[in-house]
Formats: sequence, structure tokens, C-alpha cells
Amino acid sequence: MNLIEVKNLSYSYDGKINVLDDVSFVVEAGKYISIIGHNGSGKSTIAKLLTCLLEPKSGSIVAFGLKANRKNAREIRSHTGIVFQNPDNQFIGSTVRDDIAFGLENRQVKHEDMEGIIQEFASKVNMSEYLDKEPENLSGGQKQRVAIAGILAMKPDVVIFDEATSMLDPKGRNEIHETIKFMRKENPNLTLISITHDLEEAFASDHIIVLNKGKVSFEGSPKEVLQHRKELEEIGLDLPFKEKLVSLLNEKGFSLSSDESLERIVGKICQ
Amino acid sequence: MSIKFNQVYYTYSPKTPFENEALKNINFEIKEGSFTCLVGHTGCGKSTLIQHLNGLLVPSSGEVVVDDYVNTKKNRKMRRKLRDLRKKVGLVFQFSENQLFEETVEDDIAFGPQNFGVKKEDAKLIAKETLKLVGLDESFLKKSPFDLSGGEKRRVAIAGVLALKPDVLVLDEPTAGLDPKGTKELLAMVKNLNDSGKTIILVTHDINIVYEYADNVIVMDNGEVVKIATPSELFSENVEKYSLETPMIQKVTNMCFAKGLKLDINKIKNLESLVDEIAKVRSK
Ligand SMILES: Nc1ncnc2c1ncn2[C@@H]1O[C@H](COP(=O)(O)OP(=O)(O)OP(=O)(O)O)[C@@H](O)[C@H]1O
Ligand SMILES: Nc1ncnc2c1ncn2[C@@H]1O[C@H](COP(=O)(O)OP(=O)(O)OP(=O)(O)O)[C@@H](O)[C@H]1O
Ligand SMILES: [Mg+2]
Ligand SMILES: [Mg+2]
Repeated sequence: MNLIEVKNLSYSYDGKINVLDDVSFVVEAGKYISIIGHNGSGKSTIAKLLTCLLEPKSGSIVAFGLKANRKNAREIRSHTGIVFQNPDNQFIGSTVRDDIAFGLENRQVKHEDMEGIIQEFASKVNMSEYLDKEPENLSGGQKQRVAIAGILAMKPDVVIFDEATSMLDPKGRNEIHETIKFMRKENPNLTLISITHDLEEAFASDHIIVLNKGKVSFEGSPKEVLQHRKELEEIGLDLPFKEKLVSLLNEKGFSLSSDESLERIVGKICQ
Repeated sequence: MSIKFNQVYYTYSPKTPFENEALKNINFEIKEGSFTCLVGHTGCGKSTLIQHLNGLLVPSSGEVVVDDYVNTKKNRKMRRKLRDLRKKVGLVFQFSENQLFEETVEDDIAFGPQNFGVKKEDAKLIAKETLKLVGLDESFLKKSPFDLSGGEKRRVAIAGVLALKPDVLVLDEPTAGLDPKGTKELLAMVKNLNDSGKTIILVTHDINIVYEYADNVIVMDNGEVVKIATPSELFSENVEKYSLETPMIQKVTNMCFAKGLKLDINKIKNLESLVDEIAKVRSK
């Protein structure tokens, strides 16, 4: 089932330059999608269009059967949670607890249920001890954790992460992805759209959309996207470590395949 | 210009219910011209520590010495020389894009140099040059910094600090939000500055950057410095106890060793030299 259908979408901030140019893609329910692309390629603009913070100039977005426009904004946002690129743009409450509570109030969560949900999600991101702190007085990574907790607590059907974990270490990132996997048991339709510059992270998703100068260059499963190595390099993106290792070794005369695990690859190198 | 932390403690909101001791007994020295990475778990005190380097934070007790500037609670007279310190030590904040404020990118980058007495026209030239260093072309000069993408904003903010040509460059997670090409170029530029004698202090969660670029690593945990070592010393032990990952290159090197392929670890600095070393040892 397609939760979101983006068709021939274009957008311009200044009425002159199209920062998105004829973009089309679909998002299936329950999938983990990555959007990758150079700085300024249009990723955050897509995220803002998907959450009705901007309106399409031409083309269309249909989300949850509704056309994305001002009239449907409220309904679409009730299904969608976005964690912004900069957590300082996210916070509303004066304490971490209030901040998470604010989102829950918006979703009409019953008052007696709130504290339990707040505790649950603060603990999922390892921030239980910080509920009474002010969001602006947290460290960079702590801010990102709180911003994520606030969105996940609302249990949206679609979660959009706009570089939401950029200040976390790999372990912290994994924990967040594990949390989402866990939440998917309760809601199999839970869909994650993750905008990221971390190629290791992107290549762990179900489907990758590659943007270049406002256009979709190509998209597909990680395996399919890897068929476009040259283009990836040309547009200034990178490959996961294992891919780079194997291709450099093969240039030196090895014949290795990156389909195998790192252990097996090293095993073959050492034979 | 050497940098020294002597028994530095820092407490946020002292004597309130929010009191939080973020730095505890920090002692270390950084040599002029070195490249130091500062690492550690979320909230361990990295950003707090580096804000002592240009006097934004004053130790609750102890002192931070940068050249002839002594940042300490006792010596308030020193604060008159704060300007000199700020000129010497350039600090790129963690979310540095939040600091942009001028109407155009050009004015924003030119602000710092002008503030330190550079004439407006010269400051504009500096802005143009510096913008190139962060991979943005001249068309950005007249744009509003608020109408940029996240990564573009970050680049402008970095340029604003580079424009001051500081002797000590402190960068807090500068590569978060940059695309892979931008990351590579930024690191190459920082390495260049380091080769020309500048002292670099870089905070990062990317352990692969630490492996490739650092002369020294300072590991923090819960407000304390728990380890100071070279990357090869640090990663030769199990770094999980510091909640760090082992860099990918080190992992492969370790796996090769375990399988009997004896690589010369001193020859391995990055992926290319790892592959060269594997090829060399295998062809013997
Ligand atoms: N508010 C705005 N007004 C005018 N132009 C804008 C605005 N926001 C972004 N742009 C421009 O639109 C283009 C796309 O920006 P967008 O923020 O979508 O990029 P992005 O892919 O998210 O980049 P990054 O990786 O740097 O976050 C960029 O060229 C940017 O300069
Ligand atoms: N302005 C502030 N007021 C009060 N407490 C603060 C403030 N800034 C940070 N803290 C607290 O001090 C501790 C250290 O924070 P700091 O920002 O130095 O961590 P960090 O190592 O930079 O973390 P990260 O990797 O997440 O950026 C944290 O527990 C944080 O919550
Ligand atoms: Mg963006
Ligand atoms: Mg920090």
C-alpha cells in the first residue's frame, strides 16, 4: 500500500529557481526509506512539503489519501511526525517533560496516560534523568534525543527524520533505529523517511532515493543503488566502507564480492 | 602557543536545584601545532570544555592557560585581554548555523574581521576567499544566510571563523550535516591549516576521522578526562569501555592479524594505505 505518492513535484522559494524539479516517488507503508543527496539538493524542502509546511508549486503530493494542501494540513500532520535538522527549532516546552507533553496534548492523549508515555519514551532515548531540565540547556546529542522522543511519543504513522541523529554516535543511532523497529511491532504501518548524510545508515534501509540538484537521480534498494557507483561519486556522495574496501582491493587484483560479510572478505584476503 | 588545563572544574547553575557539575578536575596540555580530537559519549562535557578555550565559559575553579591568557575566576583583570584571546582562538560551535545573523552571507563572514579592525572592503575580499574554502561559490555572497539549506548554513558559519585566521581552530562536530564531499574537503582543509602550523582541536563522534587525522585523542566520560593517547595507542585496546567504536580500518587490521596476516600498523593511516599494505604483504 502506498502511504505517500509524490508526482511531478516542483518547488521554488524565489519564483525563479526550481529547487525541486519534477520529483516523483512513492512511499510504501511500513518501509524504511532514506533520502540522500548533496547539501542544497532539496531534501529538507521535500520534508517540509510532506508535512504541509510548504505547498507544492506544481505537481502533487497525496498522503494518506489526502492531497497535500492547506485544507488537509491538519489531518496530514496528525499522521506525520517530523524531527527537524536543527533541534533548537523543535522545542516548545520549558522542560523536557512539558515538551513531550505538548505533542501528546495535540494528539488528544488522555491526561492520566501522559506521564506513563513520557516516561516510556524518555527512557527509550536514555533521557529519563533529564525530564525536568530545560531543552535549551542540554548538550547537542541530548537535544536530538529529546526531539526524537517527542515525535515518537505521538506514535505517528510516518516519521520523518531530517538528519535527526547527526550528533549521535553510531551506537546512539542504532538504539533509535531499534526503537523504531520495536514500535513497528505495535504498528506494522509505521514508516520511516530518513534524510541522512551517513551512507552506512542509508544503506541499512529498505529503499534509497538519491537527489541531485533538485532531481531524483535514481532510487532503489541499496543493492540497486550500488549499481550507480560512478554517479554516486560524481555527485559527491560516498559509498559504505565495505564497498570502498572491496573495490580498492579488486583494483589491486583481488576478486572479492561485497555481498559477503566483512569477516568472509577478510578471510579471503588472508588465504 | 600551548594550551593547558589545570584542575578545571565547571558547574552549570551552581547553588540552584539545577546545579550540574559538567567538568571535574580536567588536566591536560596541548602542544602548539598539534591536531587533537576530543571524543566521548553524548553529554560527557566536550562542548563545555572547549568553550573554556576562548573565555566563553570561566572555570568554576582551576585555570585554563592559552599562551599568556589565564582563564580563571580569580584573575578578572585578564578579561580585558579577552579580545586578543578571541582573535587567537577561533571556535566553531556545535550548531554553529544558529549564530548567523547578518543580512547577507558576505556581511556575516566579513563581520568578524571588521570587528578586529580590518577595513570593510578588505573584509569583503576575505569573505569571498573564505567562502571558496568551504565549497560555496560567489553566488552565495549576496544571499541571506536564513535562506540556505542546513549544510550551506554550516559552511557559512565555518567560513566566518576561518576568516579570522585564528592560530588555534576549535571545531565542535563540524562535519555533522555536511555531505560526504563537503566533509572530505573540510577535513583536508583543516589538515592543511594544521600542516601550516595551526593548532587544531576537533570534537567528533566519527571515530574514523579520529583514526585518520588526530595526533592525540582526549577521551572524556561523565565530565572527566579518562584517557589521553595517540590513536594507535588508543585503538590497540578495547575502546568499548569508553563507549567508543573501533574504527573500521582498525577492525580490518585486527581481523587480518587474527588470521595471521601481519600488516605493518605504522604504514596504515587511511583506507588507501590499508589496501596498499594488504597488497604489499600478500604479494610477498
Ligand atoms: N528559505 C529558503 N529561501 C530560499 N532558498 C532556500 C530556502 N531554504 C532552502 N533554500 C535553497 O533551496 C535549496 C534546497 O535546500 P534544502 O534545504 O532543501 O537542501 P537540503 O538537501 O536539505 O540540504 P542540506 O543537506 O544542506 O540540509 C538550496 O539551494 C537552498 O539554498
Ligand atoms: N547551558 C547549560 N546549562 C546547564 N547544563 C548544561 C548546559 N549545557 C550543557 N549542560 C549539561 O552539561 C553536560 C555536558 O554537556 P556538553 O554540552 O558539554 O556535552 P557534550 O559532550 O558536548 O555532548 P554532545 O556530544 O551531546 O554534544 C550535560 O549533562 C548537559 O546536559
Ligand atoms: Mg536539509
Ligand atoms: Mg556537544
